[in-house]
Amino acid sequence: MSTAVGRRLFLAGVAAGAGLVALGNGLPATLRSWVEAPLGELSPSDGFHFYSVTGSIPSWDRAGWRLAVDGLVERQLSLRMDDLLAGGLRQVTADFHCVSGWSVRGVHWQGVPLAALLDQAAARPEARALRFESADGAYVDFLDLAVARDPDVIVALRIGPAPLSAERGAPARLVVPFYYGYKGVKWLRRITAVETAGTGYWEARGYDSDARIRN
Amino acid sequence: MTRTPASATEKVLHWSVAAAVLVMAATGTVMYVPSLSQAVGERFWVRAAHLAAALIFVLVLLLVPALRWTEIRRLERGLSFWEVADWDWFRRPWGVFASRYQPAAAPAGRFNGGQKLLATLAGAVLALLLLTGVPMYWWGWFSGHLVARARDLHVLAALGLAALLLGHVYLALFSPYGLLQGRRASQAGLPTDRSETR
Repeated sequence: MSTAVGRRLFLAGVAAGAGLVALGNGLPATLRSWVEAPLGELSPSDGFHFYSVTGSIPSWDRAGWRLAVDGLVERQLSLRMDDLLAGGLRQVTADFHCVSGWSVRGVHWQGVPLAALLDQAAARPEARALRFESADGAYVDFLDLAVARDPDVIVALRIGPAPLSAERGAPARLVVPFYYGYKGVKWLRRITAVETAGTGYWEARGYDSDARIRN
Repeated sequence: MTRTPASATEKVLHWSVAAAVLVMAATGTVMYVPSLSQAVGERFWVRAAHLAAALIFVLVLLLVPALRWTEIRRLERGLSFWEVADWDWFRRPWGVFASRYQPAAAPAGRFNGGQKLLATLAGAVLALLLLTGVPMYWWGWFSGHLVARARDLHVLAALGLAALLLGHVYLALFSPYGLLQGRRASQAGLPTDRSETR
């Protein structure tokens, strides 16, 4: 005598998985951490996955590197690393969330408040947004000026006690702690004040324009 | 038992699903393993290939049954209904992998217990990968917590599928019951029992 064991097993497995996603609280994460533990370097050791939309990480040297602040400003800036460090760094501690579901809890960033850079450059009244350009030559994103002036929005130069590593966006990256990670432009080289926010790299490819973290 | 060759429909289903799964596995591995993510970069294209393979997979699952419903229904029944002989296969799983297994009774249908279990588990895991992929792709429609749980299960299901596929490829290809050994035995004029136990 035979029974439809396979069919029942299939349906039970799918139902159990759907139940875990809908109601599983921390169980899927616990299971994943157990399974990933023996994988070592095959899974991200510091919790961060690496995202780049080009084939290589932009290189930089401290002597030649500059962060440009231009566009609708009274004073265009070309800031060296020492210029950024001279004003003191603000520490922002926040959970980092990627839209694809991974997070890193309690990341300590240190950097220059964007509002301070805007004040230094004296953004003109007609400027309503900022365009951020990565040194990878492909990635751009935008912030409304009101959001950019939030005190926790920084141009980060350090993560924890150390300078940013190349894969985390060295020498400078944008950190917007209340937005998903795709707003955090890495390898930042240029900030341009513009009249209206344009469409960022991932938004042009289907991402939601509202990047605010949903809990 | 006389070996029944796979029909054209079964071959199309098997190899189109296999191709889509291989692309998803390769691109998923690149997105998951940090050193590979750094070496390859090109997140948009890797992600696009992953999604395209998932879409092809879904289309295959819709089109093949739509065009060959009776045959697919028969195949599903052949894989779903387990018999006494199938339980014998499960009682000695290590004997199967270590090539010491001899079936006590020939299966009444076309598939042995291992093939039925693989089809069931791989089917469930692939369904879960599709299901959990939905909130990962349309993340704007779901809470962050749900997307995170979906991703955790997506990773677990992907690792489970990798283990299943390694076992499948070993038994189907490299084991003493596998295709390569069977071909060698056939060329040497020796009997082969791979149709019984693969």
